[in-house]
Amino acid sequence: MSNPSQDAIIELHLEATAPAKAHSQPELESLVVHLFDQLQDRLASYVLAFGLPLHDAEDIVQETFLSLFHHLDRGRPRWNLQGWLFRVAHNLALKRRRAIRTIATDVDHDEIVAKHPDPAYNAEQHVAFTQTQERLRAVFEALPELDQRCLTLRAEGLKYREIARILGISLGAVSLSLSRSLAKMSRATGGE
Amino acid sequence: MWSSRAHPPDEQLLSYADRELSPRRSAAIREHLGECKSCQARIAQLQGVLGDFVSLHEESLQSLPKFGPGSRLALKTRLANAERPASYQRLQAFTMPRQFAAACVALLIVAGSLWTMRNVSQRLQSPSVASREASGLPEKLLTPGVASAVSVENLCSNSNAENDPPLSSALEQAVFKEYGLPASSKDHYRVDYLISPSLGGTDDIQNLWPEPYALTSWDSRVKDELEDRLHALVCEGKLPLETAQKELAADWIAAYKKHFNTDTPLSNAARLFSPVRLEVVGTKGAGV
Repeated sequence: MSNPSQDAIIELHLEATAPAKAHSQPELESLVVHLFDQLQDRLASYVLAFGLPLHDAEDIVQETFLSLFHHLDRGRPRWNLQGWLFRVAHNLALKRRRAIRTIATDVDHDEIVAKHPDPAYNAEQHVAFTQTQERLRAVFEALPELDQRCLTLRAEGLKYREIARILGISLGAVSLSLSRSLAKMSRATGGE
Repeated sequence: MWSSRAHPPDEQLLSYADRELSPRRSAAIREHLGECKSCQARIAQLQGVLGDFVSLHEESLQSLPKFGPGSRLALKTRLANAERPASYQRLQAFTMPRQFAAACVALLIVAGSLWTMRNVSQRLQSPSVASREASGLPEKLLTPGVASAVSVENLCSNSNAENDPPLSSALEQAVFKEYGLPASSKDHYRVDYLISPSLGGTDDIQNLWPEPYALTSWDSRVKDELEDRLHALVCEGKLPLETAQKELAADWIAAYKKHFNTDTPLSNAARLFSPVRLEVVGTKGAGV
C-alpha cells in the first residue's frame, strides 16, 4: 500500500522519537530490576550447576543483568528475553569456569568441576525430598552435563529452539537428549 | 505414517506433547494416538516424569542460598552508574533531524494517504512501545479481531485442526508494516492470530499482530493454553462460540485469569497438570 520511500520516512521519524519515549533511564532500570527479581534465583541455580563458587555465580548473574540493560538500551530486540538471559549466563559461566581451570593446573577440569560443585551451597536448608524425587535426582546427577543442561532449560520452560541456541546443538539433539533423559528417569521411578 | 506395527519413538511423542512438532507431524501423531492405547500410556508416562522433574527443579530452587538484598542493591547501583553513550548520541541526533522530521511529517500530510496517517498518529499517540509490548496485548485499532461464521460442529469435529496454520511471508510483512516494525522483525516477533483459527479466527490482517517474547510472561504460549481451554469449553457446549471469540478479541489476558482462576500465568508444573494437556489421550477434536 505505501511505497518504499514513504516507509523509509516513517522509519526515520520513528527512530527520532522512539528513544525519548521508550528508553528513559528509570523505565529501563526498573524493568531490568524487575526481571532480576523474577529470574535471579533461576539463573543463579543454572550457573551454580557449572560447579562455580557462590561468589562467582553472584557476579555472573549481576553481569548478565547489566548486559541486559545495555542490550535494551541499544534498542536491541526484546523478543525472548528469558532465552537471551540464559544464553548470556551460560556463556559467562563457561568462560569463568575455563578461567578458573587455567588458574588450577589440571588439564580437562570442566567435567570434574561440574560434578563436584562448591560444598558451601549444599550446606543450606535441606528441603525434604520424597523417595521418587531422590531417585530422579540420582538419575539427573549421573547424566552427562549436556543432558543436565538440556533438561534444566526445559524445566525453565524454554522452547527447544531456544535450548538448541543456548547449548549450541541442533534441534534434533535437544529432543533426543530430553527423551533419553526422561526415559531413564521413567525406568528409575518404576515406569516402563 | 504410524500404525499398530510402527509406533512413534519417545522423541516424537515428547516433541508432540511439548508442541514442538510441525502441524503435519502433529496430525500424524494425534491420529495414531487416537487408536493406540500403549502410545497414549507412554506419552502420559513421559509427561508425568517430566512434571515430576519440573516440580523437583522448582523445589530445589527453594533450597538454594539466596544472594540476599545486597545483590539487588548492588545491581541498582551499577545500573544507575551505567554509561549510556548510545543514548547521549541519540539525544543529540534527536535535535538535529528534528527539522527534517518535521518536514517529513509535512510531506506525509501533503501525500495524504489516510492509511499512512493513521499509522503515524497511532505511533505518536499510543503509549511507548515498551509498555504496549509489555502488556502482551495488541493495538486495539489495528487488531480488533476477525472471525468467520463457522459452525461449532465444524470447529470441534476437525481432528486435524491446528491452532496456528503458518502464515505467508507476505502477510507477516504486511503486519509488521502496519505496526511500524522493520521487515527484519521476522526473526524477533511472532505474528499471532488474535482469535485463533480453532475458534473461527481468520487470517485477515485485522486479526493478526506481532508478539514479542518474554518481555512479559503473558506470551504466545500462555495464550495457546487459553485457546485450548476455550476450544474445549465451546466443544462441550459450556461456552458460546461468540463469547469465546469476544473474550479473545477484547482482552485475552483477563480471560486467561478468569478461566484459570489465577492472577499470573500458571507455572510450568501447574500447566503440565492442567486439564488441557490431557487432550492428547482424549477423543478426536474435543478437549477434556
